[in-house]
Amino acid sequence: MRQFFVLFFVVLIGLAGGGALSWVSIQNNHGFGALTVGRWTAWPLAGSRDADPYTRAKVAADGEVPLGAAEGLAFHALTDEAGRALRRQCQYRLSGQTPPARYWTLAAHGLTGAVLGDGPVDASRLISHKMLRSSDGRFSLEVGPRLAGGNWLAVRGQGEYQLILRLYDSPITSTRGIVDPEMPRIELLGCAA
Amino acid sequence: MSRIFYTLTVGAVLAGIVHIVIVLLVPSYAAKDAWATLASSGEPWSFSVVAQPGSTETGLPLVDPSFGVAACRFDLSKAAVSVTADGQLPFWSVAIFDRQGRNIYSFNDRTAIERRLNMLVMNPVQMAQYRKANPDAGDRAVIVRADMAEGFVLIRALQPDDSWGPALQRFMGGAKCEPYDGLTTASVKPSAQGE
Repeated sequence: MRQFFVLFFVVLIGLAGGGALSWVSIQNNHGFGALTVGRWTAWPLAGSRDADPYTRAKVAADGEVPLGAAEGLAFHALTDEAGRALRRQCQYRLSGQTPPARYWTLAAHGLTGAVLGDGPVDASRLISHKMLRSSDGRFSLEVGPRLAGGNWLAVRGQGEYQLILRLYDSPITSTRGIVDPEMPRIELLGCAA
Repeated sequence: MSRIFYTLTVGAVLAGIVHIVIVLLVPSYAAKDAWATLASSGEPWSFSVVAQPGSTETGLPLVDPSFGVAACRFDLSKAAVSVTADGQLPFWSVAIFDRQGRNIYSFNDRTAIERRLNMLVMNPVQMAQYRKANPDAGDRAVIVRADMAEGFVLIRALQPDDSWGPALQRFMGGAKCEPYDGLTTASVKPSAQGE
């Protein structure tokens, strides 16, 4: 009887622990193969044949088709500079610059990957060549529900979301040794009640 | 006391094994992977639209809303695949994926010849036939060797603003994804028979 209980607990710990560990590590894959710059994370090898098992599991579980090396690289941000989750009712300022790329785009997605398109059509996505920049090439833009002058990405509604900045045709995917790639800082400006 | 320690240790080892097995098996058993989604939305050997620019209704998750995306499933064990499209757009890219959604090859408009999309995907056997049939292949296709059977090709085209809408629709609507039949017919060229 005692033997039976021991066996039961061993199996229980094994299945529950192994399952939970798998779920957590697949959902929050920040380890192997991830490239983190500030609050932004990208998976340069996602989808490639050289991807590690964790990245491959995440890609398959999300059902996405990652960008190939000659296409570009997607950086995801889920938190602001202070580590708080991004929320749709809050206004953020992104400032700085991006690694070199022919084009880049910025868009808001739900945590499961759906495109958020609650704002005006023209303001629900941003493209690099339309950005207003300062004379040194840096830019500043606002993300959130409040209309902003200059560069503005409209995000409306409630709940957490993620920002995805995608670099297209960027040397960062072919030469992974770019020294200190710089990504925009994400600062919280304020939240609607 | 040592009994509890023993139980926990064996349990932890078992948890590690279960974890490794799950992570390795997820790509094979994911029910909603890209292939399954594409298979439910379009026929093979033709492009079906995955996402229109600006739309929130996308066939696959995590698609850039600034892009139009179309996908075509093929099977190299049945025939080599020829992908063509003609569009003067600021940026487009093509990627080939295998059945498990792994990226085999990708290129963009700047890598392509004359910025036209003209690509042949072949397995090694078809590649050998093609080389034999076209010894001095002067054609302008990008030739991709892929050692696999089922797969899909994805084209993405940037729409910088609404004025590019018609050009983008021409590119996506005119994109063709067909079985390539130049492997066997070309090998019995009339000139070859005359020698």
